[in-house]
Amino acid sequence: MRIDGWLLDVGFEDNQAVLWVRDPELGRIRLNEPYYPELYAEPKGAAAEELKASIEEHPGIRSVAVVKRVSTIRRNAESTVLRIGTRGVDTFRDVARLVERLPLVARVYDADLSHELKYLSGRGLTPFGAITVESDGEGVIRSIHAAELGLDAHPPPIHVLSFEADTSRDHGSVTVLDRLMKPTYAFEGETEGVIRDFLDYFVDEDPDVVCAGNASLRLIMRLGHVYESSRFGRLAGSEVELFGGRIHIEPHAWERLGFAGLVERSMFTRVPLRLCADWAAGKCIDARQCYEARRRGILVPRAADYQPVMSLGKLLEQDKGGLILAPTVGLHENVALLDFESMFPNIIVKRNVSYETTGVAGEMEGFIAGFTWDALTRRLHFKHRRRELVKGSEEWMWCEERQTALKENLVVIYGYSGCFANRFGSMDTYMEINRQARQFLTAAMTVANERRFSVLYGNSDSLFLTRLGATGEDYEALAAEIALVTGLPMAVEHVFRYLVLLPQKAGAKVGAVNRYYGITAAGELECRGIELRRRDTPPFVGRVQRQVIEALLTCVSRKEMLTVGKERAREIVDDACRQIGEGDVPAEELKISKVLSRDVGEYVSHGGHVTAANALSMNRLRVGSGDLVDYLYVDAGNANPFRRVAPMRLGEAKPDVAKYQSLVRRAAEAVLSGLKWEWV
Amino acid sequence: MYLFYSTEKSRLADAVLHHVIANAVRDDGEAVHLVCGNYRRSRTLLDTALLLDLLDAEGRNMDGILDRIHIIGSFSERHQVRAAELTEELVGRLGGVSAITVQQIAKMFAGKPLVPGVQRGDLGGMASRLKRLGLERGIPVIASCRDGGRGAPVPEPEACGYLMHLANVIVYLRPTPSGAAAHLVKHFDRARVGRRVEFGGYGGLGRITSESMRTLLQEQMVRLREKFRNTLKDDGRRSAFDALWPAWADEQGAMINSDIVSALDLLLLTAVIDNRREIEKLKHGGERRMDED
Repeated sequence: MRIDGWLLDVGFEDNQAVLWVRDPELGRIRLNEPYYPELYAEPKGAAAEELKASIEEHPGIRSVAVVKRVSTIRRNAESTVLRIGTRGVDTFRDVARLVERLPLVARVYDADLSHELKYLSGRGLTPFGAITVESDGEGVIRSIHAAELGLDAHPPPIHVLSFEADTSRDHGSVTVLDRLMKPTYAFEGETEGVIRDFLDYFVDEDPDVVCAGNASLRLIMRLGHVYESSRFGRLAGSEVELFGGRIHIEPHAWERLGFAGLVERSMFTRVPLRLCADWAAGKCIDARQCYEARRRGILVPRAADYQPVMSLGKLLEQDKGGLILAPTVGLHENVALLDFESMFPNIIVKRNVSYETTGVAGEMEGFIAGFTWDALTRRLHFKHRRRELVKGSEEWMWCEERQTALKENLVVIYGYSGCFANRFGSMDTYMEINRQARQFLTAAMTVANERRFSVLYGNSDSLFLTRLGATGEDYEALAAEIALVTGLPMAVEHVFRYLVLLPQKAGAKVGAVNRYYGITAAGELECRGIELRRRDTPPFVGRVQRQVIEALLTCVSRKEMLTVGKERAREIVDDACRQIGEGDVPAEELKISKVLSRDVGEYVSHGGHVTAANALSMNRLRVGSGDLVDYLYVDAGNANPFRRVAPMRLGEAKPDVAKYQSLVRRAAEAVLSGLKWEWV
Repeated sequence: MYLFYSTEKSRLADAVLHHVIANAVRDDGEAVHLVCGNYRRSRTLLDTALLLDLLDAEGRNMDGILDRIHIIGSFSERHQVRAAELTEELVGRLGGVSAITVQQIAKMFAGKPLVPGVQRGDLGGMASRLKRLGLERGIPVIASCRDGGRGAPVPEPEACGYLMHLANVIVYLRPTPSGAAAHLVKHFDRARVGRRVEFGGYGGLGRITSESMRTLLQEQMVRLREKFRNTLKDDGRRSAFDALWPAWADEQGAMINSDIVSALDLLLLTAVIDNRREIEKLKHGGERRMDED
């Protein structure tokens, strides 16, 4: 049988790899082939043959061979290692643990990779990539061929079903959601009927991807079991396992990246979406590096194996990070923000900076440069294609989702190069990328100064410049000249009519890094680092701050801003404080939302969100690391922390008027602090 | 093997290690320093500003001195266990190592494991290997750690029992109103155990700040304003000091990007440049006026 489709997922059953492929005509197809995972061991104090003799009788080991392999990315020389084949995924971990503990083993390789990654890299397959498979009647793979990854923004024809479920003892509802997570249809009524109807609907829809919160999915599974209805998965401990090769993703991943973005993330990571949808960027890059290393025949060391050793002199001289030119605090007119496009990935690609090429002369393409080039090319393609499309159109959305997903990883590649968690890590590489970035920014500054532009602020890959009477064309010409001189693409990101660079909050009379607001020539507001950009700012406070900024920046002159604008700002603040005092602001508008970065018990200091989370736990509502906690200030000055805040989930509470009024005033003062020019 | 411990907040034990390093690199000696900590749990940083101050205070020539301080980063339990092997390699290669210091030896092994496969007992193995290395080569091994929070008036160290057994000398340090006090918890001369020594001036040990260069510059600026500028008798000089502030605030990028490591040197250099700029402006103004005349 020949199947032409898209690779959905891969799983394992003992010594079989199970592939799920979506064929537009045949539907979701299950295929399988034998899979015997391998690891490698480097002998220590003994010949490889001696080590081989000592382990080959182990019942979990299927084969042992002495082979030559490249065991470090920094040297191309081969080492003698043992290739140890196991009998299947069930025995792999035990064998790996045993081998690693042997005194005759210096190091193990390929021992802590997921089987999904091992299988896909071994076969050269990419999740959601187009494949052609020849199989026998029982689905055993005879041949498999992966097509080149295309640059079509359209995601593969994969059917996604999103829903949320909620039930009480005798009433239930399951709401089906569209791609924007808006309700399209709701099953409501007596719980048993709702569950049966939804499960029938599910069978009819037969989705490939199920997008639902863990709680909703668990509820459906549990009730499906209670009512003995047809089910599409089962509970396996705290996890939900879906039948038939379906993929489960959480709604927050979908909301953040959209389906095209999630597909792109899985393609970058080279790991099935089921696993990588929620991964941090570092973990995605680690997976891609391991995939590429295996494709190049390089053995993969254990995670977090990299340990920096260097002299303090070298550390102080070279480990400086990006170049930050302190902002000139105050109001500025006619300012352009010039930005090096994807500066760090471009340095990696164009200057061929990689773990094995840093400080080494040669023509060889660097390890990081290879996959960074691939991701960068794709991102720029989708970014530029997006500009040609109608904003908000379906294809525009796909391009936006894909380029955002790629950007998330691209901006981290350089930082991850020196991270201790990076198994291939190298501080030299990280410092070299930073050194070059500093050189490029300095070169850009020099060009700007030669053209009589003043630098107001610079941050790693961007410059805020001004020149009396400069036009948009002048700034464009400058960006083009800098691009020519440096060899890195540079673009005018914004031209601001007014820009206010803010001082540090601590009042040290020094400009704050990445803290500003401004209005562009097109009338759009741009802000960084101020309250309205923060999720833990109450929505009402954020809105008041925005109104204050608008009141100032829509003035026609500097003079008007300081007189009329300031007066308008004062009125807005007074009115907001009056609304709070009179109880006209709903609690929802005053809530503070903060994510718990760790489990409640692990916090040393107890901020409002931790106290609120503690209060929820005491009321038997589970909250843990990664959960969003919404709370209100109810008596901010109380000595008892539990009386200071009230979690929103515990019902109505009376907000602390004085506290919220002070938050509003502080937000307004933050905006006005940049206008006090005579502050020294 | 010596173990110093103190509360995490006072950082006295870490300050002692900085003194040890500064002494070790005297007379062409080398120092190997292990930094143990993980930013996800609790960060441990070598305070380069304090170290430079200590070296500077003795009037040392800084040329090459920083290249004789070798840092081994340990960011997970596995790193720390392997750090013993790396230290052996480094000591063998360098030859003239005068001290091996381990900053926060026990921190990584407190709480939930960061990486699987390494147990608390492995810390003892790592410390034992370092001690043996020190004995074989005649190099003192000095470690710091936090107090464990239990026991009064002298709490126990955070370190495991085996580490306490390994250490020949254990000293507890705590801040006092007049400075700091050292309490000898363990010593091979038993008659000395339990002794307490007070030494005046917290500044004698130095405060650990562990901040970025940007923060160090800004702290130096604030310190100069509070302790230097405010005691200037002449109003004009105070105004002159204030007039330097914008240049310091504006040019931090250049200061950090340079190869100079002392915050005060950087501020002085920037002040000189700013003064030169003013002189040039005055000069050009004067020349213009002369031309007009």
